Amino acid sequence: MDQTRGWFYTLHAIAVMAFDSISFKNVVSNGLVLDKNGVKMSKRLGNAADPFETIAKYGADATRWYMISNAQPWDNLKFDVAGIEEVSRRFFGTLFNTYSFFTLYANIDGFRYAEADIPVEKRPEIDRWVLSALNSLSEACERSYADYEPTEAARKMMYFVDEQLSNWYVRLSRRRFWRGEYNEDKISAYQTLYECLVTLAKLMAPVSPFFADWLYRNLNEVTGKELHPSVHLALMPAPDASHADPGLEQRMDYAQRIASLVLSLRKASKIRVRQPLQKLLLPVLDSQFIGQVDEVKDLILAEVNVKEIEYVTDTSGLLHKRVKPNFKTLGKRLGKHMKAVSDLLAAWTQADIQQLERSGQYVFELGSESFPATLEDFEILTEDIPGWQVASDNGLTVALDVTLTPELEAEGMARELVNRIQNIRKTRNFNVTDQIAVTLENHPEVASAVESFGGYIRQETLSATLSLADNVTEGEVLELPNEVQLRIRVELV
Amino acid sequence: MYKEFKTLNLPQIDQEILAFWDAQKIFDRSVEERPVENSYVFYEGPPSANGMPGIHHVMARTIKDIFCRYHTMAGQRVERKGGWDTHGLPIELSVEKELGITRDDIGKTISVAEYNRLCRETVMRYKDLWDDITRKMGYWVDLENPYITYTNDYIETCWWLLKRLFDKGLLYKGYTIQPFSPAAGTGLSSHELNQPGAYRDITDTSAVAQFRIKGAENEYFLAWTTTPWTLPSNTALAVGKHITYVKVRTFNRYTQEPVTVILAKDRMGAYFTEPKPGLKPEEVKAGNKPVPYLEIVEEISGAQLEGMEYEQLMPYVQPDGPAFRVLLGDFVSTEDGTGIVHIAPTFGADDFRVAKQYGIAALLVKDENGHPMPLVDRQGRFVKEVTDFAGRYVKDYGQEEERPVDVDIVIKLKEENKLFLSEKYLHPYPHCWRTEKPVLYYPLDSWFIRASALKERMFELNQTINWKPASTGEGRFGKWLENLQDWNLSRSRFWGTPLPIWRTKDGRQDKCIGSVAMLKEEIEKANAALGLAQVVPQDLHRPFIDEVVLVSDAGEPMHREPDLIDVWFDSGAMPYAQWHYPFENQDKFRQNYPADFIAKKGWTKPGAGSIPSMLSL
Repeated sequence: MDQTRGWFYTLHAIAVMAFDSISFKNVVSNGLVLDKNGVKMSKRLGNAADPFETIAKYGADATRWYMISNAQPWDNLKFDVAGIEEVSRRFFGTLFNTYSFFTLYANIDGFRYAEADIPVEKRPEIDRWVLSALNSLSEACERSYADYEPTEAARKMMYFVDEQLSNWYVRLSRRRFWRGEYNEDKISAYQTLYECLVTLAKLMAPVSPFFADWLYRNLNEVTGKELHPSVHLALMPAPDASHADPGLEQRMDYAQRIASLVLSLRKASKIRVRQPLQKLLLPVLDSQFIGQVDEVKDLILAEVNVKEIEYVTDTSGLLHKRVKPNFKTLGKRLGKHMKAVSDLLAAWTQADIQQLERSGQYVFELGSESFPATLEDFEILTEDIPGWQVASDNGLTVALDVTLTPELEAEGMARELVNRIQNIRKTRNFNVTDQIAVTLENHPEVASAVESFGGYIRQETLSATLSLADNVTEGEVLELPNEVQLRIRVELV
Repeated sequence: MYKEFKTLNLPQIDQEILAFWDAQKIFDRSVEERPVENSYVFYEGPPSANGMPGIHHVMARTIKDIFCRYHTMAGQRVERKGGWDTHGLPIELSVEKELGITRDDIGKTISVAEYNRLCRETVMRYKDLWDDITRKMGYWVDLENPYITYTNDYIETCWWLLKRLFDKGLLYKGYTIQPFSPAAGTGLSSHELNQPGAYRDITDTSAVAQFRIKGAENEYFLAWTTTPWTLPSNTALAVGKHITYVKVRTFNRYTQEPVTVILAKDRMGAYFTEPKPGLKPEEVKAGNKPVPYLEIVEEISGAQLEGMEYEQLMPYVQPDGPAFRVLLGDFVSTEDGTGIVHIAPTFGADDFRVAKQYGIAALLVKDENGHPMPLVDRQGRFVKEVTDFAGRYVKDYGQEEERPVDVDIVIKLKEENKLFLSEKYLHPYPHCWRTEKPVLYYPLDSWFIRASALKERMFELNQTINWKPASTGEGRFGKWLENLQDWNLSRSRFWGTPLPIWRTKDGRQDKCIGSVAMLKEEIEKANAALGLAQVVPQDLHRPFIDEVVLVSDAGEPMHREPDLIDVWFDSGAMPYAQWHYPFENQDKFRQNYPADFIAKKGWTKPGAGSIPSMLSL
């Protein structure tokens, strides 16, 4: 039977009347579960989801995680199995892949966490960063759980797993796992990734009790590091101040966000990542900005394939910005004042906008009332300048020089050729030490790449010779950018 | 070696981990390994196993499970006693439906004992499915030792709580107008009317009736109602003291008779366009639109109208006292209608109150046992005395009929030159949350908890509770507490916790029983005084408890008040009754009170505002 608010009332009323007391300290009011179109589920409409089928098909954890991460418990949930599939793939799938990556190499190297912990300060920056981010995640999750905000906790874990652990830490650290000897750097990588996985198992256990226990047990079965046979008997990870490095987290956050802005600009301008670009401009946000970004500069440039970063303190000549109120967030709060606010913002100078971006806040004084506002209450639009592409994210702005010089185009083509030749080596199962001879069909774009970057191509592909010929009859057909199509012959020498 | 897997198979992981939890008793260990002194108290708001588990239950249970698991991992001991909600209307209605009987058959074609036996059987029908979904979704709750609300122990704690309220003077019996569901055959509490979806838009036939003023030719008061079926029960009209009324000369649009009508000046615009000297009767023949009039004869204040008399509109039944007068009511407004409110003391809370205040009689007839009753019976049908409409349902209860009785009443008024205007009217109307049929406001003799006496304290203590989201607690719940009404405890049903109050025939003495031991003691007293050989029933439910006769201090026999209590009292009593407190587990109770955490399907937008009385309808 649907016990709705009746129970809250009768619990409270009886406690007050009979005992002059409350009977509960914290109460979470739940929303409704509607169908994906927002219609109430009913037998009559045949739109009610069967809980048994759902759990049998997707598993309890994906169902639970979807429900919790999709909407706060007190809001209505538009139940859509597509959302469960998404959670299953993007969250559990990504975490599973990360676990699989770890076990694949840990089994090869025989890593059983038998070695003493490598002191954090001795670990490479990328390890220290992910441990600091993990520590921040633990703190945030515990705060959210304690505040009865499970949706917040779930979303933070999703961000960590997807953006930080898988797409950044593992991707950038890949080579440390698959290359080289079993040395301190490799052990550090294993210890770090292990800690991420086992900590995640604990943090996620309340929401997804099955997968969490599976992960915890699979890891602990080998290492025996944990005292308990089940994650549900364990304690939540205690925050470790020695892991916290806010400065490092900030600069890595800059690196991730700058890289992601540049990649989005490349995508929008249809310029592939292998095509090098000359320069990106970064407006300076604060006094620490240059120092912080400089420390992760190489990482950023390598990620986005750009040659240099230039910092600008005065963007007025370069970027023209406009600001508008965000009606979604301000409308409700300001109501009748919205018109006045629009007028006010229309009159703002570039310096006013810069000031807002730096401080991240503003107080509207309207009549006798004050309305504090934050960055999200504004829409800041940047007008494009010829030859440049500009994008912003939460105060951070990137301007990308999209001019392609013949030199850059040749280098881009050289990189494409390296990629294709390496693919050929792989499909033909050449040994990594095998020397080859490469003959390319002549084509003006390819010719300039070979002329300027022949040495680079030969070195990367272990080619003893790299030559152009007018008529290549045998070998593979290459599809290159700008609709260039030509034959290539690769031979062992 | 770490285990390696080709693909992720979450349902497979569920199976493996469930088997592991079972084999190693991980749930039990997760509770037992934590110290009692560091407890986190959770109350399970129990489901009824009478319905199938749905996806929303998975949602609700996930939320509960998350915080219990989190606090376990924060080092706390989190016991989760499960429970089953087993009483109440939903179960009774499903048994009625399966047997193909109605409420009236119970005690006639089927004994109450047999009926209640079926309820007890039915209520756990889907227990296995519930246990299954609980396990499969990974919801950790103790299903081995649940509390079950139909047990004698649970009922005994409810009795103990009621006795405590009784001793504090918080229980009383009153004859009031209450929401009543003819389809369910029982009164409803205001929190039941606040269920989401209780208010639904329906189209009624509204009427502006002409009440003929005594001693005047063709002069009428105009009063508007959306419930023409209450017109045969009219015994007064209410006006606002400070409202200005006008006497308007015009013609009746249906009969073209010349009439002089009285209504609030501010409401003129709803019925009239403009004065038109020399107006012809046929010019007001138009449909429902405002019409011209001849002239305004006079302006009168409400105070001047007080005490005026009019002729009974539909004289089926005669009043046993003064009636058909104009009263002053503070609730009269000029927001809608005519500014004159039709009063039927048997069918509206305000009507009842104002009529009592003025000593105006209600229209009543005698039922088969000689008890007074209103002109509509408990099934929602007109009594035989309302000859033209005898046996007709006053609202839509699924009956087959050519047209609603409201329409026939309007037709009759029209023919008798008693109708000024009739229109279709779309408005939200309360419906019974279980039968989905319309609710009537109906006079009932019920037991109440004087909750309103403690509303300030409830409000104050509510502010110490952490509500998620905060707006629900401070806003909706807080506002509701501020306007709290007394809690209608009585239910005229069969399967539920019996009201433990025995009364003498003259109603002068009451005894509230607070325990089985007390019942035994009182039975023994009665046996001695009345020469009976009763024993405490094995089962505290009806009909067995109904047979127990007690004795008053003056030696008169006392019979149990036949009502059951609102099933919501059962659920509100769970902090105490789950432990059979105070008869057992006193330590356990103290360690587990109050709860750190509860969660339930909550507070969604209600269909409409407050409960309308007949007056505002």
